[in-house]
Amino acid sequence: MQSAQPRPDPDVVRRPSREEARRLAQERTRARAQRIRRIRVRAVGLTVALFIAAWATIFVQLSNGHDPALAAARPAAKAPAVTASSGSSTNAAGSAVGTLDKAGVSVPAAAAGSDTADPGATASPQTQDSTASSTDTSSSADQSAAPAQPSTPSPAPVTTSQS
Amino acid sequence: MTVLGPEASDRFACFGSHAAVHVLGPGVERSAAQAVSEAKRRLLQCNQDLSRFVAGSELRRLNADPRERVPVSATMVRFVEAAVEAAARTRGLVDATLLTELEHAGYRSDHRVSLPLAIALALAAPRQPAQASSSLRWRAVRVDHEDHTVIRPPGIKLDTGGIAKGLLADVLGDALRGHASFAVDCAGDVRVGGSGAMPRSIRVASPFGDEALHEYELVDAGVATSGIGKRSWLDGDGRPAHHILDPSTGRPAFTGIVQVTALAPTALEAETLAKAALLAGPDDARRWLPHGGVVVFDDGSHDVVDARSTVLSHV
Repeated sequence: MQSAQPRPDPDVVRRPSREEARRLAQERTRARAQRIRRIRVRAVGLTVALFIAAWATIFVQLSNGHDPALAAARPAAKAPAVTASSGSSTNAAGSAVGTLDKAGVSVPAAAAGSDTADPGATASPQTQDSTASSTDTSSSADQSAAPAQPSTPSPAPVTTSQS
Repeated sequence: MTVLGPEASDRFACFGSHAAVHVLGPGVERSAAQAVSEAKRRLLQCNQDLSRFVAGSELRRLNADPRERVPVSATMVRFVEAAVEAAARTRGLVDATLLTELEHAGYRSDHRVSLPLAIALALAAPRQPAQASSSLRWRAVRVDHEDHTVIRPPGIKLDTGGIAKGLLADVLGDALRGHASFAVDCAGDVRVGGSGAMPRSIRVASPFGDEALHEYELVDAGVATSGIGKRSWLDGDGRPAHHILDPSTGRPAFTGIVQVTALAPTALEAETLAKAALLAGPDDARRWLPHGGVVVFDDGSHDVVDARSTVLSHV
């Protein structure tokens, strides 16, 4: 079937010669290749930059000791095992119970629930028993360790670290 | 028998880090929750007054004041007095007048992101114990309690640092003494106590991770941890830097110790002893821990120091 499209005016649009058409095609091909290369470089660069940024962020966070997986995996009710001797010249037990009087002398702690606030008070036999039994670091956080006083809440542990 | 109820606690941003207050049992005038709320309010207010990173804070006004005698608040009087006492007790090793050197080292803003400790240690200069500055600037600083003034030669700038944290933990601890048990944690400087004489677990965190290196059960005491793992950066010359300076050089101190936790009757004293032990280096650190503590070395090992291993007055 014959097309009904109008013919272009030969004075306005000149049909390129074969040489010109080849050159034009080469230029367009080269320009297309450059565009593709530029887009490809940008895409690769952006991907690499995003990866480095994400990697660096996670690296710095973990290097600072903030591992969310570790934090979530540690139940609050169970005190971590004391590692006082691992790879060190540790010379003391993993924990100690006591108070410091004004002269800096360490004295045994009074029993939980005692009404006295005198830090220098002489320890009673009951106090000494409490001291001896509390060398297990997890006992104070374990509610089952004190069945005689189930309603007495335990003070929350506090972590000291450099800030 | 008094019903203690659950412990009231709050943890909040303060001192460029975090603070926490725990109170168990009602007091004479307030419930535990009210006491925590009041302690938080006071801590945040004191942080506004004593921080050099807060525009218009009292500390910044004091450091910029050209007068030799500067009227200040009661809180500032206590801080300056505590800073001078800390310097005197450590013979200038813990020196709060090194703010100019600290800013020159690069600590001009609050460093929330720190240089990883392993990298800092790898790039750091050879280790050597710190020493007091020969200038002894801290000796020129004093307070007048009668008219609430700080007296010092203009140009001497003070940095609150850990001294303010220890002091505030003690001040708030005194206010909470009527409760069965309390703990005030000012970004690592902790004061525990209470009328119930209840032991509280204090865990010492490792500077290389979150694990606990040691655990104390304390009834009435101060605990402070000082270290070089946080608030660290690379200076203009690419050298690792942090906020604890060797007073003799004015440069960040790399002594072979990365963290010290000290026990003492008060948090302020513990803070002073921890910093002095860190600056003294591995050979002398134990001498600064008469009440016990934990020393963590560059290689990650640590040493738990027994209480009364030495007597401080012999130093």
